[in-house]
Amino acid sequence: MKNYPFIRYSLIFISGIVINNFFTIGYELLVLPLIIFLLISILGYFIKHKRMAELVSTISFYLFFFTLGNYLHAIEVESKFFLPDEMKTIEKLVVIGSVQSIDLRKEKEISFNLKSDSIRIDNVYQTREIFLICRVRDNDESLNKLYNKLVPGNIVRIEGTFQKGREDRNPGEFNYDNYLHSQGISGLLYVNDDYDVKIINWNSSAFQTAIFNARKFVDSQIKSLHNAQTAGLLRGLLLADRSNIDYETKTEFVNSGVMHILAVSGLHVGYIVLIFVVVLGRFNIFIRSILTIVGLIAFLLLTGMPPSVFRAVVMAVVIIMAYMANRSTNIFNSLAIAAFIVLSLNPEELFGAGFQLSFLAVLSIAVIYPIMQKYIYSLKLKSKVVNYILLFMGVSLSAQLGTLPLTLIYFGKLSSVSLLTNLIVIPLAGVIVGIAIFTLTLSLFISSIAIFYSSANEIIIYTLYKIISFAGSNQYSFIPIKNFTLYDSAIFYAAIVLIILGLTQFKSVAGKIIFMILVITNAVLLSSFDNRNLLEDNNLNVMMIDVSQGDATLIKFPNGQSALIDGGYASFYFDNGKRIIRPLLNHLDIYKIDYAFVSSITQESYGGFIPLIRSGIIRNIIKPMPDSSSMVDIKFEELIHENNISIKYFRKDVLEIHEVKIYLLNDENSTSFIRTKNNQTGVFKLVYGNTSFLFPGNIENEAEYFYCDEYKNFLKSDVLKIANNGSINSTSLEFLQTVQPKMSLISVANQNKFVKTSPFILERLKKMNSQIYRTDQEGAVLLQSDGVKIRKARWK
Amino acid sequence: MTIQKWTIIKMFNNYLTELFDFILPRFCTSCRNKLATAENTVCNSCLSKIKLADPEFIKSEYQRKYESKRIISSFVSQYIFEKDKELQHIIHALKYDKKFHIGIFLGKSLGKHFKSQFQSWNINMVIPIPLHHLKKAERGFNQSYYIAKGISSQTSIAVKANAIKRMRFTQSQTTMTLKEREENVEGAFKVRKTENVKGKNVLLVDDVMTTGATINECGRVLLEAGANQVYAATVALADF
Ligand SMILES: [Zn+2]
Repeated sequence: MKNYPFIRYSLIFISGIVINNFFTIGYELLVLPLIIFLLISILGYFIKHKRMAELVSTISFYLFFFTLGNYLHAIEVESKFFLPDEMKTIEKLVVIGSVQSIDLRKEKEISFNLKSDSIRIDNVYQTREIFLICRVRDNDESLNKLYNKLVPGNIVRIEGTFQKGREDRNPGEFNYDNYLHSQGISGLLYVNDDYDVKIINWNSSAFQTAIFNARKFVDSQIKSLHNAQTAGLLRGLLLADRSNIDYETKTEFVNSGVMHILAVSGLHVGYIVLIFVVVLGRFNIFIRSILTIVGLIAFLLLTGMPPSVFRAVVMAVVIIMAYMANRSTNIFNSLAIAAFIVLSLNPEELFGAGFQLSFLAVLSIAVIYPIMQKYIYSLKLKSKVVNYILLFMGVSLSAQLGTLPLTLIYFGKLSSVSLLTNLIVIPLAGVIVGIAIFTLTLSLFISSIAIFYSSANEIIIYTLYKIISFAGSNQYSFIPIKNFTLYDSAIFYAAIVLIILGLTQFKSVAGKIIFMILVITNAVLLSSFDNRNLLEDNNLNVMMIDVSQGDATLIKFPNGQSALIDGGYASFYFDNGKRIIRPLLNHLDIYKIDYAFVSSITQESYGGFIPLIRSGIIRNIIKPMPDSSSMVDIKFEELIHENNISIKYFRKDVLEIHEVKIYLLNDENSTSFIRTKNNQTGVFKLVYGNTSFLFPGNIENEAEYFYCDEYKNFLKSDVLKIANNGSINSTSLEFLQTVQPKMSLISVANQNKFVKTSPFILERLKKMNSQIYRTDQEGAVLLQSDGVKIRKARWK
Repeated sequence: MTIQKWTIIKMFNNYLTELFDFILPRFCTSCRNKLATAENTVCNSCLSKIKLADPEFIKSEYQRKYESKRIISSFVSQYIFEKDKELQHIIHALKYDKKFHIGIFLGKSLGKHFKSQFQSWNINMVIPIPLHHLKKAERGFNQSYYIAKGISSQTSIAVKANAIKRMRFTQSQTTMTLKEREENVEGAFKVRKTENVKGKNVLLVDDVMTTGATINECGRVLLEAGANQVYAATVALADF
């Protein structure tokens, strides 16, 4: 540290950014101090051999770096403009602006970044500079036409529906809106017809266009040479575009601890450098270094300059330049310089997962690996291969240890196989990148031979996917760790520092082991202090989940058992069971559903159940009586039997789960007609102590009259789940007057144009003085009952 | 006027070096201490500890190793190579840590030290003792090439790095006797294009001269190819 003063200044600079993030100071106020501090430090530098002058100069130079951090952060914050927060959805928004960067073609969509000059809301034009991500969906032909003519720099007029990014609608979810905000983007503009994108000025920015065309070209080369699976991965590895890798594959990558392979970053840049060094072996060092830097910059441009690649390239270039200039390449110093450069250009990156993960990974390799290396050397192994494997695992383990708290915060799981998978996957990824670059270069000259190499790569990638899928789909491949907080991270790092100190201080092996055990047990104990279950034990928890369409309510009983009422809608594009319910269950530490209530056999109720049934977490299913006329129902029953789940049908009965009673109210002996499907729906009431909840499924008016007649006052409940998103065909006045709910739960998606809650129903509920909770307004709604009172719990 | 201009440029250059030293500091190759602004590659304290080869000793070494063969017309060397001392650290860093700048540094110092000699010899080209291409690939570069570059920058004599080719992958010579070394390097070199060296005065450059076998063999093929005079310069003389 003493020999590398810049590390200190870089840290001071970073602390300036952090401070400015908490205490916002306008950048205008910082200009003067910035100049004064710089002047004082320069003046002090020229008055040599005077201790006082030197001291003042040094202090003001520190202050200069601190102010610089503040200043750059303030400028970045103030140069971003957003739409007002309350504007969540704007229909028919017209935007006139310039196309910034265009993403590679997706299967059913074209997306690009747009910087607006002016926008039109409610027929009034206003000048406003905001950034939007524009997504155009149309048929294949129209999209191709647009994709071929649009270039960065074009001025366009676009009409579409504006939407803010998805917030965290359920506990544990990613807040996409926050993420977009940190990128300076106001939200998304959806366009459903290519006709609504009009190019009004064919301006183009030559540089951006060249990069875009190069990306397009490489992409088409990749596609023409490889099958879809391989092309998807190569697009991710070479062009940093992961959109063609599906959600399941990404989850398997996370589970097996190799997600970093998909994030183009230091590892890839390392491979590119390695490839250059090997290929350019005959040239002298100067030419080789310069060509490597040129190659890295080309790679940076080709990937579209995502922050992760930029960081890694900056770091590599710093190291190469230091070598060429005959200067020391201490890794901490290089990190400090790279951080300073990256953060000077974009101070907000400091708060992003990517920046933190990549810098922490390198830092922990620099700190932890030398200790492991020393230990491995001290073993004096005979076999060179074993030695190499151990050293490699040492690097991998060091990076994983150092970034562990962040992976736990961002992904919520600890991969137990990652050390092994990385041992195979990291070298394999290097081979894949190498062959791919070779194939693509070769294809420019002799495409017939290139195909030979591309099929070799396909086999390797197929193997890679198989390994990851095998390692990542096993239920023991990862340990879910929830609610890992900053507090836990602090304890973790303190423990690491103590262990490193302990290993170097204690002489005897026994001393080392005892010390390590002491540190680890204390760390575990301390980090368990702030653990708290969202769904409180010994209470009845009812959580209406915010699904994008349909209904889903999760219940945790006082004895710890759980139930799921409906599974949300599932379509080819979005399966709520897979994308929302399963991650939510994981987040809440629920690994089995004791009772699954399928109100009716409609896509809105049973769709999301299918992946849950297949995954084997469901114990009992309660569903409407079998309907032999419905193919869907027959198939559904088959699926249930195949998975050995016991079935119970909705008919008059009482289930007792600990102190909670569930009254199934369907009466198959009743003579009343039940014509439509929605009237065969399961209707039941939950009672815990003095509190009660009514779940009428997808009931409609006719059936409501029937239940009012049959059960009368027994229907009276504290909480009513409103049927069919609050549509006018349900929740009749008579039914409401019978149930008299103090609280009403409405599940309605906030971004669905077709399903809307009827204002009449809302009015009706208001008149009854029923407290309304809607998923479109607050996301998931959690109610907790102790048997005496029901209270709404906060989860955000 | 020009002197003023030069001092300004030099001053500016010093400030720039100081700024770079603040961001990416430089350290002495031998003692690892931070270098002062005016120092370069090796600190002055280490530099002063390296034993210089005095002219008498060079002369006696020339007589012992070259004179009888009648190949090398004259020979110079700047330092004495001593085991476990500063110069060994420096040359080790040059060869094995890929610090090619050290080669340039040593070459410059050599070129400056013997500038008048080189001029009086009327040298046309500087040729570094080549490495076999496999060895070069393994090490990354030929250290003698950078020493030659350093000499060239002081004397403005061109470097011809590819004039001689090393044919055989000769074994490491560190443990061999003179006799063994001579056999080891026999027929190891070849002049690529004789017309390039025909009638020219050549300076052969290497890092450390031990027995002189390699330099003699290189010189032999050069004379066979028609070179007029062959001289040799090394950074150091091994004192054994
Ligand atoms: Zn020194």
